[in-house]
Amino acid sequence: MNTNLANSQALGRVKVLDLTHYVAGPFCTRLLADYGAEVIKVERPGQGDPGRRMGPFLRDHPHAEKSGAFLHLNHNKVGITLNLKAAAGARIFGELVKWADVVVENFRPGVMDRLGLTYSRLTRLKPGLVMTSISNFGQTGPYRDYKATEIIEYAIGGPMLFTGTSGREPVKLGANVGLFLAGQMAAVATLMAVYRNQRDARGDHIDISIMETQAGSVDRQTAMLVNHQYTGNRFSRLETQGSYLGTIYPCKDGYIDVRARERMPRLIAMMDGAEPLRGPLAVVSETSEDRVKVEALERRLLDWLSQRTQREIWAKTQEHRVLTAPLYDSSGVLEDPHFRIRGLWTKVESGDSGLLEYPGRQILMGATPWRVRRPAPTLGQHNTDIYCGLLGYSPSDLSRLRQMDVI
Amino acid sequence: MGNLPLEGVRVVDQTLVWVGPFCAQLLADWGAEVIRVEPLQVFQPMTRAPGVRPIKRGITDYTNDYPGGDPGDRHWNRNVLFQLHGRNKLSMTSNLPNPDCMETFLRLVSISDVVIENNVPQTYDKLGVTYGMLKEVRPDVILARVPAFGLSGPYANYRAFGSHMESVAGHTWIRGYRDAPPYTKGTTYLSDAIGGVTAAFAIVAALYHRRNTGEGQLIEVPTAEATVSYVGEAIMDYVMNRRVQGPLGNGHPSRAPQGCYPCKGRDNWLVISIGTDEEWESLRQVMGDPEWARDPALATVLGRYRLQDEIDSHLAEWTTDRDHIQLMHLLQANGVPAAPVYDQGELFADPQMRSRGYFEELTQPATGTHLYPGMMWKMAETPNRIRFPSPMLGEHNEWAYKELLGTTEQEYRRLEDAGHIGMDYPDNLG
Repeated sequence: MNTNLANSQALGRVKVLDLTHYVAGPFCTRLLADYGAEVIKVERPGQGDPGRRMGPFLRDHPHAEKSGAFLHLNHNKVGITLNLKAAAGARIFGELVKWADVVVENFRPGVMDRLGLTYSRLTRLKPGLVMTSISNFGQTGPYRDYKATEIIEYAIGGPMLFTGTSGREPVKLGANVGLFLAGQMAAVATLMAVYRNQRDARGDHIDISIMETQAGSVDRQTAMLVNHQYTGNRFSRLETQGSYLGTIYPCKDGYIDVRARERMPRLIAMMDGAEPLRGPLAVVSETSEDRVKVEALERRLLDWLSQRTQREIWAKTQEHRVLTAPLYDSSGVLEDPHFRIRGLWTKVESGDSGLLEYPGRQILMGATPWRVRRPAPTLGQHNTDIYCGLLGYSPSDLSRLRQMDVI
Repeated sequence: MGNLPLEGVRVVDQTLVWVGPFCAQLLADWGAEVIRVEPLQVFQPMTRAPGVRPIKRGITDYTNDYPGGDPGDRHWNRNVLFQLHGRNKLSMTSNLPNPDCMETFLRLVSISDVVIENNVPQTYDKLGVTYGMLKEVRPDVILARVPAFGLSGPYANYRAFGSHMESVAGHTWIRGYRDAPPYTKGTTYLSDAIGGVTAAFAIVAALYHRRNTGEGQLIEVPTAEATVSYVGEAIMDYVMNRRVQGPLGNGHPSRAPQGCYPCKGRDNWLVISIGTDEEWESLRQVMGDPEWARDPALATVLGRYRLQDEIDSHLAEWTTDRDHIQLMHLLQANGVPAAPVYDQGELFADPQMRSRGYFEELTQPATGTHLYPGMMWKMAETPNRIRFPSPMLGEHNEWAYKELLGTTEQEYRRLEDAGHIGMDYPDNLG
């Protein structure tokens, strides 16, 4: 493995054994890998990570090496296959644990125990090991074995009751954003334990409940929870989204998110072409008289917006300190000049899928930059490198293990 | 058992609204000494409260509220907003543009490890603060800047709330109902949380690097860009297939049926998410295997996907007179992924959250005793609780100035007389 490159990055000395699959776990380990950690992703022989069967696929052709979701979530990792249920597989896993500083897993609670891979056993193999377990509801409690997907976590832990419009059913957020958030939280927790290990080499077992990350890290949810404690209020979906002059409006080439509200004098000034108002902001109350004024104003605003493009409106409103933003679809995000100029996109030669453009770094670290070192591994791509190069097995051992369905 | 991971790390916190304060909360929760430096001369909207004067706009405005609905004296110590993330932090007051305060700030930086700010980039420019300047007083300092769109590029100084970052990052477009234009969609945002967690990740990575090498660094966390990764599936679909994804509502690209169904009582709902044929079989059994569900077309996920709307109306009929919470337990006991859409009270009462001790009781002098969301994760060898409640504005001035910075009594009085040290915003602040 190329450790030279890795060591110029912040986490170049961190070795991670990655037992994760699907979204939350792989995003956690990808973040660690992005900033330099050596991550060995361990997959089930034959099947691999079920994330390989997640769409989108290149040209809509389902293929284990052409899942856009998998490629996005697993670059910078090396990949091996290992059957943890076989005795020989568990033994080899023990050797890998001795190599690792960190094990990350997101099996259902109890699976690691059944495989004989409890934290206490692993930490005997590698004193000071950090283990991170990500699960739907946590490693303990009455829901420990309950099943969940992203929508279920958002319903029970997040502000789904508040999302959508009244008179209709609550609605979830897009794609798998809640699972990504849980994965990022797991990466923070893991790093904190790694950081402490530099001081006292004590190790720890981290328990991430996705439900809890929903309850504590979505700002609307925490605000409503604390408000409920203070006042007893219950919050549900609103009749219209946001409040007066704070919503999503159509414009010439799409939609634009406008939060005018307290900034209404500025908005009026902007539409009239007058100088922006200075000084204290006028606040419009919710009296019926004001309502009529606001509705008239809204009609004028819609007309003004309909004659302008998203980016024209965005630039103009920023001049007048009115907060707006274009609603980009994925083509808009990819074409936007700001993201292009700043180098958000990274082209990666991705094996069977060819050259693809990825959303790149999340963070710019001045001294220890983000890098793409390799695309997501094909299933078992690095078996020889790891089993022979790192653990010292011979090529004939390898073919024997293959025949035994261990790798 | 023992030390929290970030014990010994001192953080100068110049954050506002939610992104930065949430990042600082994660650091403070796990042992860092986080000192908020707050100006008395500028009321930072949406930070300690929406505005300098308490405004009551009705119960839809959940950030603009107080215990018992009463702003009391010094409403900025009682407003919901700051109480979400202020715990485990300390507060001192100082107003940077003032030369005396700049000296105080640099003295504080010289004995700190991390500085965090999430202002519009030009704020630091106007104040004349640069990374180089901080490095002069603290060579290994870590400066984390968390702007909406980055420190460079055409939108560097564009102002944005979470909703805006999320719109530009492509998330707003793919959330919401399938059959309605985007302007009727909901108002729940994720970008602020993403920026906060991402910044915390970067800071701990930089601390780790510093302990290895002695080197500090400047970190830039452009929240909108960090958010783009979260909608990676939609981005990759465009990259691979030039397909622009729209909203899926409560549906899922490979699970069916998945949806949100009405239950007994007002505004009670249950979500169900069926991925495998086994789960579908179990759901059928729990429902008593009704005629409609025996349709062979529904035996495969593809068939169920095609007939999702039809299934949804049958499921809604089945759930409508049933209790959303009891139904979750019944379905989960049979291996069917399901959950109620909780309201706030139900979440506080939830047996799982209670059994894990997630919510913690805190007593703060200004707000009284309440439950709050607790730690974001558990560490088996390091039990952790919220150590102290949100600070009142300027609560730790004496300690910070006199004990930490060695300010003389005379100088302290001078700064106090000049209006930099205090526990109140001036009456004439607009």
